Amino acid sequence: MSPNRHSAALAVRDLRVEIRTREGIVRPVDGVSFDIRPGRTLGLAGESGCGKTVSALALMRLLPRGQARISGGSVLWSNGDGESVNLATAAEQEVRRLRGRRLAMIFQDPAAALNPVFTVGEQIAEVSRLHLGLSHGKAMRRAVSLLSRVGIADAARRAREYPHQFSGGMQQRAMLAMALAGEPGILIADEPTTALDVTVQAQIVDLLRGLQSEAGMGMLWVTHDLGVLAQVADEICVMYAGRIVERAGTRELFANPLHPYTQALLACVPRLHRPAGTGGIPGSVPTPAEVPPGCRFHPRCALSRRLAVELDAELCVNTQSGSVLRRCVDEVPALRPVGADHWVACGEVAS
Amino acid sequence: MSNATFPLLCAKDLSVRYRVSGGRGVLMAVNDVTFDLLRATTLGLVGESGCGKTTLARAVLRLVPVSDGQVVFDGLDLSHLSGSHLRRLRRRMQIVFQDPLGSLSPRMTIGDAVGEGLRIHRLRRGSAIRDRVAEMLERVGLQAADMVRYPYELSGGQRQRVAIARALAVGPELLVCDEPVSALDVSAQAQILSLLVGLRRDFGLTYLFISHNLAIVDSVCDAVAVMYLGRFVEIGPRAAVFENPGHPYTRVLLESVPDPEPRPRRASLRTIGEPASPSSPPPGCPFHPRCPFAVDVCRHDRPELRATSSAPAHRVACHRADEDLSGATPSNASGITA
Ligand SMILES: Nc1ncnc2c1ncn2[C@@H]1O[C@H](COP(=O)(O)OP(=O)(O)OP(=O)(O)O)[C@@H](O)[C@H]1O
Ligand SMILES: Nc1ncnc2c1ncn2[C@@H]1O[C@H](COP(=O)(O)OP(=O)(O)OP(=O)(O)O)[C@@H](O)[C@H]1O
Ligand code: SF4
Ligand SMILES: [Mg+2]
Ligand SMILES: [Mg+2]
Repeated sequence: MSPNRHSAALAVRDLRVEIRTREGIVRPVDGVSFDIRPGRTLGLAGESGCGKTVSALALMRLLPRGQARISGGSVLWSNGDGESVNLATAAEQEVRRLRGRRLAMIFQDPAAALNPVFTVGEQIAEVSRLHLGLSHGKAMRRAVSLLSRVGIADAARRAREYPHQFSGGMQQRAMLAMALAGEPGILIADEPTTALDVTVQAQIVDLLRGLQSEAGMGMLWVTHDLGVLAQVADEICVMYAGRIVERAGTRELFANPLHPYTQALLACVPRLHRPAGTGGIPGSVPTPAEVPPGCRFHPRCALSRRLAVELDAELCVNTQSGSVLRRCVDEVPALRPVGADHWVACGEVAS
Repeated sequence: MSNATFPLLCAKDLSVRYRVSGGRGVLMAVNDVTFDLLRATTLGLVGESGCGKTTLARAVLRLVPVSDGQVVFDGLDLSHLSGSHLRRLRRRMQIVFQDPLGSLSPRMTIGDAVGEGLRIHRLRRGSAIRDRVAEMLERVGLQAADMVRYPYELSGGQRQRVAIARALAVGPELLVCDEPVSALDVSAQAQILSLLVGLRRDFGLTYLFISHNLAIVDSVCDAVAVMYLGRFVEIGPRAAVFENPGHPYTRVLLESVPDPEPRPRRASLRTIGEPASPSSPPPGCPFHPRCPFAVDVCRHDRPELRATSSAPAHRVACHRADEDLSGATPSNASGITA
């Protein structure tokens, strides 16, 4: 689609977000680092409520104003020609200049992101008019072609319809078309295919891969679905309670998951003819208001509990969720390299 | 249950038409759909994005106008019910909408949203409402303390759980679930699915269950219907449909399930040709332009939904359903590509 190759990148370092709530200030994202590279897809995985969407919104500087803010860290956007901007601190005007054109986002909730009073075609066309300076007619033709590329039949007629006339999966694809309309160098996609069946999903995956290799688009793919990331991601960050607990190349992560949380997540990916709903990880993600001390995963960690049975009593401590290693409660494990291209935040795995 | 074999829900020749914007055309979102749903069973509904699943789900509850056909709930023909009767029935048939944010009012707290049905139908009063709400929130994996929060303060998956708690709170007999767990991680999915299965076992709850995730349909449904361009093209017991799919489209669906393992990037997953448009469906079999096995008759005559030779409860709308196509050479260039 785009003749000009992008080489934009986004370097996120120690990102922190604070939200003001009834229970006081909470930190749903607490020291997250990763890189989105040109032409590559980074997967951000983790259970519901672990902070994926808040991280994605923070990168785009779209956190709910007045309530939430980036409280630390940096988000360095660079275009490969020496231009760079720290989105965490840049002026609103500067951020607005980049948003849509240089980096675009697909929101988790398509219905809320589409404007009900404009036709789908107008909304997509508006993006390329604004960011690429296309004429009205050209922008509209481009909107139609984008709709058909995301697999919407009869796109010329569909472009004249309103969002409520689209099915759930069609709305999701309309939003994808809108995000792509500005030919962004970086695409932040929050659960972009959750509403899509396998065949349409495969088509979208192919389209995005094509754009990555043709145009060098870099992508952050946020999802709770490791099965999808297996197909699309080059590298995966596993997030738990506001932190990255493991980071590795996709094949390495699946072949050699080291963090007990990653192992537990992978063990319950549903497969055809292997029933879903058979397990799940006991317990649940803590809310940001009540994160446990030390390793935030310790109350649910099978490894810590197993080691507590094997090791001396003085190395252990009794908690609400049973006997676990004292170290897991006392020390915050840092994300440490354990091999080429593989990082883990677990004191027991690393040692 | 005395009337266990008496279907709780029957849809007969159900059709829903939408007006197409600009022009006089119509779009047949649901076309001539017939099925029975027995008590305490789950019918899974699968099919491509835009094929009419949500429209069918809404039509069954009379949330969109039915253009043709009938819906009978527990022996009552919904099309002949007055507004007040219908309102009373509403408690017994609930829906979890595909878009949880859209179905929750932004100005209502989670507690008010989940308790609303209890108040409207006068099922509980005073502090009993609060107790029931707390119980429901905990059963879907949220906390009683979440009652005071607003939808925008929740993550996507948390909202979806609120929508489920809200539908279950009034104790329905039929629960229509439109992608109820697609925003949930595997762990939360497991929790919700076992909750739903438990309610079916303990209270005989009946489900119409829409999901694009075939592994989930495989694990919770008794019967499966496959929809294509507004029509059922296959329906039958789960095992029959999944292990012995009769319609070429069902096979494509099953074959395209991605392995949850990374592979070296191959050319692509299996994909099928251009999607068809429901406002101008092709003549003959609606699937023929994309079907690798289409022959002449497929282009002219629309196949009826017919029992297969192997199982009478397993019905397929395909001219070649009773042929063994496993060794057949695809006859259609624009069909399945590896
Ligand atoms: N505006 C807000 N006010 C208060 N709490 C919030 C707000 N937004 C998010 N949270 C909380 O922060 C945590 C992280 O939320 P986030 O939306 O990032 O989760 P997520 O990983 O995207 O989950 P999901 O997979 O369910 O979408 C959750 O516990 C959520 O309830
Ligand atoms: N209110 C409406 N007005 C006009 N057309 C509509 C309306 N709602 C849905 N449609 C159209 O009806 C068809 C079926 O839509 P429906 O929402 O039932 O699909 P679906 O199978 O649920 O898809 P998805 O898996 O994407 O949610 C689509 O072509 C859609 O555009
Ligand atoms: S009827 Fe013909 S076109 Fe339709 S699915 Fe069967 S073989 Fe294919
Ligand atoms: Mg989210
Ligand atoms: Mg739908």
